[in-house]
Amino acid sequence: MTGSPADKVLSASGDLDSFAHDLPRLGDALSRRLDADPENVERGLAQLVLTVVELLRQLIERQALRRVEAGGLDDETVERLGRTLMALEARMEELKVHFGLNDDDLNIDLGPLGRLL
Amino acid sequence: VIWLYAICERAPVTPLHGIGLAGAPLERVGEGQLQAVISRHAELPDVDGLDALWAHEEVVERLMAEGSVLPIRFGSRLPTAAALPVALATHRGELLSALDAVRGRVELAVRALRPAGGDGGDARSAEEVAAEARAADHDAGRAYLRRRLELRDRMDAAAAALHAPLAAAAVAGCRRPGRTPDEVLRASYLVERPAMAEFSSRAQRLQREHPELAVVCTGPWPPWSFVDVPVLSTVAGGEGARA
Repeated sequence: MTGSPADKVLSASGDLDSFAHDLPRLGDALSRRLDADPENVERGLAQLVLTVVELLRQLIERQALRRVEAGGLDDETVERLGRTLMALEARMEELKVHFGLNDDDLNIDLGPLGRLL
Repeated sequence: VIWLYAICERAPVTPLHGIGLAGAPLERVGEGQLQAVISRHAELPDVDGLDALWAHEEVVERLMAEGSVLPIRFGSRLPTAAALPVALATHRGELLSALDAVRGRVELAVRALRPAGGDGGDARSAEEVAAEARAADHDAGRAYLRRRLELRDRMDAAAAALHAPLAAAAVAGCRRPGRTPDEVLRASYLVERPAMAEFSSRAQRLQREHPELAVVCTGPWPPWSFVDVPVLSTVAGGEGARA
């Protein structure tokens, strides 16, 4: 029976704080579906767009890794692929810094479907 | 608004203990062997904050103490209770076998983090990444892909090393992708009640074997991750969205 959340910990070592970093997201999911504050509208839009770009980037990277692993690509292609992904990652990092977003912001809770990334 | 908590087997005499969200009384609705536990609200109850989540959880756990339970996702609601008996009757077979599948079993959750600064993380600053991208090294691209492959393989191996012994002590296991690069394992396990102690000691042993990780095991929870009954999503999710 639920007494308090702490009763639910069967085993753990060290501090539990590191496990709680996604708690603020829980509050967001419950209370704020979309932040339409005019002050933040640019950031909100950037967050949405970058989330989609990040999703594509991860999909492309996963696919690229699979193809590299499977072999059959010549060195030049692999090199080009790697450089492209590297540049893409660097650009994403710059954009995140520019808009003050972190990795956790680049995600969307799809309700019953779970989270996008 | 009808707030839904769980579907359980008919309990003819046992009164419902406890209260629902916003202090509302709990009610059983249903026919035959199946009953849904609900509360009625004039307006959508305040669902902000953790208290509402715990209230929902507590209702489900009380029911779980009495018998097999199919928990319904927090936030599921219906405009009226009228459709419930029909939905329960229509999906009777599926619901009864889902109840059998979780009978006497609980969900335990395990998460493992590789704390920042530990080996294997991928936390590099924007400057480092940018500098890397500019590097004129003739095989910088291949080196990048190699590093990504190694990271992925290392994370996969670390997760598998944790998951395998836990899954062996469970009836079923369900892994989810980590939410951050430092999250090595995020998983739920369906465990027979008497096997809880064994499972928990396996989690502790994994912690000792992997001092570089932080491993936490929580529960017992209702079988949230192991209940996948279509009627729950059609009735609760679909209608609920419009309620």
